[in-house]
Amino acid sequence: MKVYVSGIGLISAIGRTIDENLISLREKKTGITKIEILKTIHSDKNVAGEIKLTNEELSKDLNTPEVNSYPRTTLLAIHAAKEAYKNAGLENDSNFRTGVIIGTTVGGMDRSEIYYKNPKENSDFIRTHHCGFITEKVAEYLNAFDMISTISTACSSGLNSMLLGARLIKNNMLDRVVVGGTDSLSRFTLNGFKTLMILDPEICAPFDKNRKGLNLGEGAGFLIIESERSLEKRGKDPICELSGYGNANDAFHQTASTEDGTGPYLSMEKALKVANLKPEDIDYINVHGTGTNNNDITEGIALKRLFKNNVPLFSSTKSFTGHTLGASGGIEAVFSVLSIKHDLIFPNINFSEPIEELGLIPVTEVLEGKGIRNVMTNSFGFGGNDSTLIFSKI
Amino acid sequence: MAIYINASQAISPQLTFQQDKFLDEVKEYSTLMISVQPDFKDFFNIMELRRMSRIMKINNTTALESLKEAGIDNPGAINTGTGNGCIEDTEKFLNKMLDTNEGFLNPTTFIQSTHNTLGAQIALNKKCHNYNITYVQKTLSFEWALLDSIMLINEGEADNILVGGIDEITKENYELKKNLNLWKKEPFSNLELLNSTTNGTIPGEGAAFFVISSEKSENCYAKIEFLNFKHRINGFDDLSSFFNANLQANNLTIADIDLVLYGINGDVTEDKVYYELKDSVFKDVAGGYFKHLSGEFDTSSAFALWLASNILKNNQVPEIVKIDKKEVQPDRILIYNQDNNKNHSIIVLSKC
Amino acid sequence: MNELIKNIKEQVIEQLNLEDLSPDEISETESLFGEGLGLDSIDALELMVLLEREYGIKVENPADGKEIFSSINSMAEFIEANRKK
Repeated sequence: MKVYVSGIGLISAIGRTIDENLISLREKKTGITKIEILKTIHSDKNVAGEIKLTNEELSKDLNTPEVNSYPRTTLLAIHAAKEAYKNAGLENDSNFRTGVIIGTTVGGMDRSEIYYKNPKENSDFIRTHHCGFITEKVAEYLNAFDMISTISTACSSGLNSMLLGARLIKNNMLDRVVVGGTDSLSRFTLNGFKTLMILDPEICAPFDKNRKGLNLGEGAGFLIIESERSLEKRGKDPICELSGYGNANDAFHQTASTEDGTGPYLSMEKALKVANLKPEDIDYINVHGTGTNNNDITEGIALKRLFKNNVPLFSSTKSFTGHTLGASGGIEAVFSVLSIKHDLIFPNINFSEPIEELGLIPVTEVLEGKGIRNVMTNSFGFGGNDSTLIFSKI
Repeated sequence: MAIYINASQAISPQLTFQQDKFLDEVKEYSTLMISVQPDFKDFFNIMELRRMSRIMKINNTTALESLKEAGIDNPGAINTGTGNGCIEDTEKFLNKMLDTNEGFLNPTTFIQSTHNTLGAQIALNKKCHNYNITYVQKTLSFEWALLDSIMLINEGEADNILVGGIDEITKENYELKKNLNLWKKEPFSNLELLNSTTNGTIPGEGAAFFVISSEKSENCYAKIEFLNFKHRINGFDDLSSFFNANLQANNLTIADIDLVLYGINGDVTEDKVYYELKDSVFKDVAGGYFKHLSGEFDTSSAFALWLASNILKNNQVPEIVKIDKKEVQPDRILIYNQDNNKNHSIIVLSKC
Repeated sequence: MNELIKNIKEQVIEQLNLEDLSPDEISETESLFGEGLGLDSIDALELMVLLEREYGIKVENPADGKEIFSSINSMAEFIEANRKK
């Protein structure tokens, strides 16, 4: 059974809608700027892919019940899921089973940071702290309750939500699934990554020899995936197929990847197998490419292991959006779908020199009309949780 | 395809971990129900233990002992479910960050605050490169991990899967949730849950892990007949039809069920639905309960699965589990749990 | 120097949750990583927090940790040369 993508929705530092994101990507306009919305003592020394909208503004725009009662991750998720639902032209139909599956890492942390020490001010915040709250609220907003699930596998959370959604369709448990990733900036993650000493104080440079680390970002990226039967019934043409998925564990270290790229290699290999494709069928890879020393070298080694001397055109879009953690898989899956839809490859901005040991050069300009058929996207997380998806032209 | 439970291990507020006897002694609590911990030095060296918070210790111990029990070194997948994840490490990092106004913070607590530390640490320990996911859907977190595992077996992706449900409670988290009126206002004995006349429950914690497989081993505890859950149910009629439809879809009737384990937690409002079911749909079926043993927490259904699988393997229903004192030697057990009239879940097990 | 070494050992034990070890069990010359005490890269980050908090030394490049933390003695020498408090 095949699984199709029929809608996309996205909010990131480079745009509040699909169209805005596409314009920024085409114009090579980064969203990594000074930190303004998040209140932190580190704002003058760090940059991030921050969405310049307050929670109040997001909440008002979405008409969510009470202003300031939903965490930022929830607001971003509803924003992107709503766009995807509309983009797919989906309407509730009791003849079809609709589910919502979301990947996230911080859940309601932004509210917890405010109220953990002052619970008297707003005792309700603890109800919104757990990750599952986001999914419950998105399901409520879309009135889609047939199955709801939340996954937290660090930075691969978003891709894993899509992998699960695809399998639920193949197992005939759902007909349509709203799948995606969401995460907001928080003091918790900013300070956390600071202790790991892997933040680049300037715009990150993925796959560059002189890369200094990552920039954090925030956002949400969602897909509507659907069964053939559901599409036929409503006479809808899909955008592309979600043809492959792979999940593997690096099992090497809690935060670093193994030198031979085992986990990334295995997840890409599995995804090819599910899609029934050969390495040479892949036309473009939206790599994880965080800009950290460790990620880029090990991902590069895994690419060379799998693709030998024919590594496909590839780029990291994290120097546009920052590393949006649990949302990154969601956002980059949407970029991958856009790549197929518009026959477009996005540039890896801020790159100048290749990593010597790899000699791999990412795409640095917008490329159009390459005849793209299959796009791969990677997400690798803490704990060695690695995932890969493949999207294919129909 | 038939799914078998070939290993079942739990660390809980009761003496459940590697005991000779099956719940013949019961521990009484009045507020927090914290797990009874074995000497972890029997399982890990000092260097391994130095970073593990309580949840990591109970997680790693039950997981690795389950694999040992099943004689499996490299499971085809590791799926974990947790409602709140590693709260202790999260709170340590968060509190220090707030207290020092983003001062000197420890990377270790940050790294280990992520939910997937649970599944990832097991993979790291066993050098297992296979499928690995952590589910965080509140009271359905464990059900999702189990459903995914069953799907993987049916898809032919894996033969033996390690699956578990893990949660911890901290004093601080307990205090914060007190404000939501989730707990009993006064100290209340866990052994009095059936006699409760007030709202609120007693919080607990624990880790329960299983090795499930398409093949039955000599050590088999039980066969999983089916698992299903529903987020929203509109009223009691809808709930009874949820039970009937699921049983029917699996060629079973109410009469085939010998024991129902209810998620009764002592909150009179929440418990209403259990008693209503017990007096109507399951009026002729023996009833049992489990949250007086485990306390209430998001993955308590994993504890219930440990209990049910041990009842079937030992051919014995511990007296403390029975609601009515009916003599029963069940061949088939149904576990029913729900959360404030949401997230209804059913797991049906039978003897293997 | 001996006083400093004693202090460092106690601080390392506290920072890395090694309460089951006594200061005497940590060698001054043996490697803290790998074959010696068996510390890893996360411990190195923890030790950098220790340097900044206790001695006011900010290490900018995590890669420098390898040399600084190669043994208790090397740590002591580095602290002596760079301490701000």
